[in-house]
Amino acid sequence: MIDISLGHYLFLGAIIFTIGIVGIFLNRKNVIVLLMSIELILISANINLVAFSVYLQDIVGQVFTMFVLTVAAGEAAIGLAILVVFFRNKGSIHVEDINTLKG
Amino acid sequence: MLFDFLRDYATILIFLFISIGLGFAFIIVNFLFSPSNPDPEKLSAYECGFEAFDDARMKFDVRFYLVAILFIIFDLEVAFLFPWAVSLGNIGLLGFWSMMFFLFILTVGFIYEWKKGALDWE
Amino acid sequence: MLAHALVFYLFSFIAISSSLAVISSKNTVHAVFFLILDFVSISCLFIMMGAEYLGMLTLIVYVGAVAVLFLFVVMMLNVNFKDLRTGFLSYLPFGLLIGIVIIIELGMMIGTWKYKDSFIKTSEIQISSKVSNTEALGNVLYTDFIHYFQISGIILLVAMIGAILLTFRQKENLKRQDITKQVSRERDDGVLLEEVESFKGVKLND
Repeated sequence: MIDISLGHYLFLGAIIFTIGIVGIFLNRKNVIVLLMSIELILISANINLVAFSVYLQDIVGQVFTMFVLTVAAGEAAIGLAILVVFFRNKGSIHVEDINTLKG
Repeated sequence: MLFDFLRDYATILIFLFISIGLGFAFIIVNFLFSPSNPDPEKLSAYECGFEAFDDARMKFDVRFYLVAILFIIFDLEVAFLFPWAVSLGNIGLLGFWSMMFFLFILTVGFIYEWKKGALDWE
Repeated sequence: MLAHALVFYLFSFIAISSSLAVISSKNTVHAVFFLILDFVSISCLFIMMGAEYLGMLTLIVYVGAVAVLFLFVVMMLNVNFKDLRTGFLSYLPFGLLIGIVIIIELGMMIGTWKYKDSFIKTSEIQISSKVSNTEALGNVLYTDFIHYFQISGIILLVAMIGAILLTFRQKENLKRQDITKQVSRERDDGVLLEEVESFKGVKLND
């Protein structure tokens, strides 16, 4: 318990990942909270990458964390842009309203 | 090794705790010692004022969002520039030109945004 | 050693409880603020592991840019967020079931895993005084990972152009300042000299 090891960080990443997944299930109607849950999942992946990189003494994990960071920023930008356009066209951000292609 | 390294950050941690404690202390002391005897007249809207119609949130213009997007992109560009600047001596010509190409790609996007007029504020 | 463990548990407690608050808070603005708290504590954890540059980067990129972007969108959309929470309770059992299954699976993976010898102990983590974390990153990022690096540049370009294309609308009949046109304006463009004959007047075409 006192000696913090790799397993502690992996458990932390696992817990935050699970919270992100549960957040996607619970907030099915609010797209903004859905995107925030995806950010949580991405940062839990970052925790894992950094922990492995440090405990293997290999910098590559941290390099990939930077790329994950880039993708997360791009995903947030585009996701929120789509959300803004959707709100402009429909006047709501209900996920159920995204059914125009259903036919 | 790690603990020696983290000792440098201990001052920041102490600073963090003191500032959080001070912030909470102000609120709690205020809560304990301030006189508080509310009555309906005090709590109602001032004289002929109205009750609030809706919440204080007001709509932002979409331009703020575009500026924030531009900020996020160039924030990441700077994040990639820092390690490059630190280790420029070790990575040789390939590292230099790889960053120049990266900057060129983002400059293309910047010129597009400029010409499109997304930066203009009327 | 003890202080290290205590600080780890403090920050991970803050991270977990604030991420729980993100998915369950009624007000979306509050959820964004809890997301910021989550990112801050995780960046502190990164620094605790010795990954200084990524800790600072998480602060700058996530807290400084991504969370602000979320905040802008929440403020921009005039949505009644109360309606969006209907059905929260009806989804709760199913979501919790999925969450418990996932956490048990991951916990079994991590807990029963035989750690190889190549994983070092926390007290053995080397922090080189010669090569800083930032420099170690830079030494491999631009040469060994050049393709990934260029692809991330293209991702940023696509994100920028996509966001402009989606959200930017040029407003009609808007008068803008055109500096080139303004500076290159000659005298002849604005001034017209006309000899006026008496009793005939002059006709200007304007």
